[in-house]
Amino acid sequence: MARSLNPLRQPSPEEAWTRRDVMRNGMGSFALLCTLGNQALLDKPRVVTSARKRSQAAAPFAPFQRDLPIMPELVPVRSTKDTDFYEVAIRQGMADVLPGYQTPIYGYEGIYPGPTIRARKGRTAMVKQTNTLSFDSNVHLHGGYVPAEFDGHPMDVIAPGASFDYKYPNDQDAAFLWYHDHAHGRTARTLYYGLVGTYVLHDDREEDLDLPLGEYDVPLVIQDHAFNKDGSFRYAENVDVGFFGDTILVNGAIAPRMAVDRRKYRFRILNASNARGYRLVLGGGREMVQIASDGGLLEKPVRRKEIPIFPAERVEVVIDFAKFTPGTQLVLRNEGGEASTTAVMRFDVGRGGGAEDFRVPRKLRRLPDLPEPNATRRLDLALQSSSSVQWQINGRGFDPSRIDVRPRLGSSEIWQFTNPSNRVHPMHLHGMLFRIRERSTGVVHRADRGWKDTVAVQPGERVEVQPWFGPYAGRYVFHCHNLEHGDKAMMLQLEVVE
Amino acid sequence: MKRRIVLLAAPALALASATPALGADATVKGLDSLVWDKPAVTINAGEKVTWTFDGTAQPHNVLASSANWTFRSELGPPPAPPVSRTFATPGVYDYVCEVHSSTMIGRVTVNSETGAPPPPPPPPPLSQQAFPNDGTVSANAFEVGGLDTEDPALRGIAVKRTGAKARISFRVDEQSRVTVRLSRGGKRVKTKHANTAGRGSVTVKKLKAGRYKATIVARDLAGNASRTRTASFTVS
Repeated sequence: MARSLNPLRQPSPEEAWTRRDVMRNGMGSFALLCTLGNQALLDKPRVVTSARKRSQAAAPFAPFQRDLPIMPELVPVRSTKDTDFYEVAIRQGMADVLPGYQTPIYGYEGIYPGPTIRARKGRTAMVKQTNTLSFDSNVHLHGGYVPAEFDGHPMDVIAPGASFDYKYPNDQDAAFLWYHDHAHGRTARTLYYGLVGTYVLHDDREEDLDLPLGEYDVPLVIQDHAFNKDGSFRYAENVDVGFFGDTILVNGAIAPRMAVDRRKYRFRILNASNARGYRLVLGGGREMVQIASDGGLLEKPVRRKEIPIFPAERVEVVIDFAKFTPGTQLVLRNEGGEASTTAVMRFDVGRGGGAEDFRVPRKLRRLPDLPEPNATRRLDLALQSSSSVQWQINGRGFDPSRIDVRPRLGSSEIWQFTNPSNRVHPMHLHGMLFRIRERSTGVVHRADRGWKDTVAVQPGERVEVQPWFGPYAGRYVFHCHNLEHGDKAMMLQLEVVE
Repeated sequence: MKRRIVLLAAPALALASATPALGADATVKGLDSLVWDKPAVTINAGEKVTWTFDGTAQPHNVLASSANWTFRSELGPPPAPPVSRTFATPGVYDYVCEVHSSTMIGRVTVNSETGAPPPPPPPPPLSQQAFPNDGTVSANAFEVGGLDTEDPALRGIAVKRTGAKARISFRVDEQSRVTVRLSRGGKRVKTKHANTAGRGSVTVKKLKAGRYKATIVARDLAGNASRTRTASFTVS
């Protein structure tokens, strides 16, 4: 009986919990019998025995215990003159997050965060995604100029066992993008359980600027989590405020540390959290030079001592560690959270460094002018409560059979996001970029004047953005990237028409 | 079988005959700070819990979250009207607000009519028990060390000349970029750099005849400069 099941099938995170409970709590034999057919139970329990692991397990949440993990880079299965072909399996896996425990996850290639895709402007990337999970999934390339059929629209899903070839033309300037699940109604859980990966798009321009590369160009994926006593991720739904965890993970490790040379580094920071915003401060208020936002390089670098970053936003900074004495420890910290979510990671400055002539250029690039807007649209963000509760945009929830906005390809409009609620709404537009024009709460920060795909509309705030509808026609969505809000239908549909 | 029916019927009988003491009922208030004012209340069987939401501007309700009961009060525009429930059977009853189920978590413990506490519910499995983060970092530990403001020390200057070639050697006490400038007759003729930590040197070739002055300075990674050192030599 036990052997008749597919031995390759791994337990889902939820199932894995159940099984461990059986193992650890020693519950009744009936339960044990029922789960005997399961490969996971036949596996030896993952007991960690090394003394080091045990001592770590005594204080599993202590920050700065682990070196910063770097996501592996996805290697093309083949390449032609102008295209790289990749293959990815969306599957269950186990992650080492808490010392002494294993955490069940969903992951691209079974790892959390998923492998980094490094792409180059002008070279097409074809990514075959195979869904080995037991439910629908799909992949959205967040921030990418992607034809509608490859965008990962919430209704375009990959059925269990099926595959889909996503074609990413990479016909846009260098930017720090990310890919994640977007099957409707599920993203709060699937992203939380690990379906996130970074997509770094390079171009000649950033090479001309001599920006740090290779090991000095580091993606940082920040997510907040909570844990159960068996080491599994703990999720509790809150449709109003969204999920907030008590632990900060960077690249899948609890508040890790990173040994750095005395030189400049480029950090690409992604807030992949469900709902949590961060206010990042370095050490005792040290300077970080922001060079890019969601849609790539800013026009000019911006020196900042505090950087707010809300869900789905990206911020790229250059930090110069050369000016610190060897042995200096600088904590990148979150000023916007509770005590246990303060430590984000720590940089440990080493002795090495050597010669480095690179200086952040005073001009990074010239952003194109947008076409004159031909309409103004007000979009009210509010919680509707009748028999159930739903966050809505202009009194509407997501309806895939309805097109809410139908702009012409290449045109532009002014969108006024108006937020009378007491929650932050990070509003995200698929497949296109926008510029922030105005905020009712003050001037638009210089670091927010570049291309954006997500803007966090604060409680009581009105934010005016100007999207440019292109480069592709077709059906896209825009939605709140507080994942619990988006899942509960805080999403509208637009169709860019030719 | 017969015995089970009796057991099931007992609470119903108790409910029918119970006359709960006035004032023993409990009231729990839902707050816009997304908690219940009393997360746990205890009553006796047959008594009533009332949930109120006066003055709230956000939607709240009561939703049973333990398997031993079902209950869901209406969601609607805030403030929600008060709701009540009479608990006939001793036990432990958990509930949440459907909209804020991660923080508005409540429990009603129903003792027997005589006030005897119910048997405690079995502990939830480990997969449902929170493992709270107890690891924090103290606020004064955000930065250890700091800016490098110390100038590098440049010592041990020596010149070794062989024909038209001169080798200027030196020693620095930290990773530095050392700049050597050669001048002849007050006019700069050569500039050379070396990156080193410890001993280092630069070699200058094809020097014309004359009296040379070497000016040497070291600059560390943070940009701090050493005292300027000089050395003189003659190429004949």
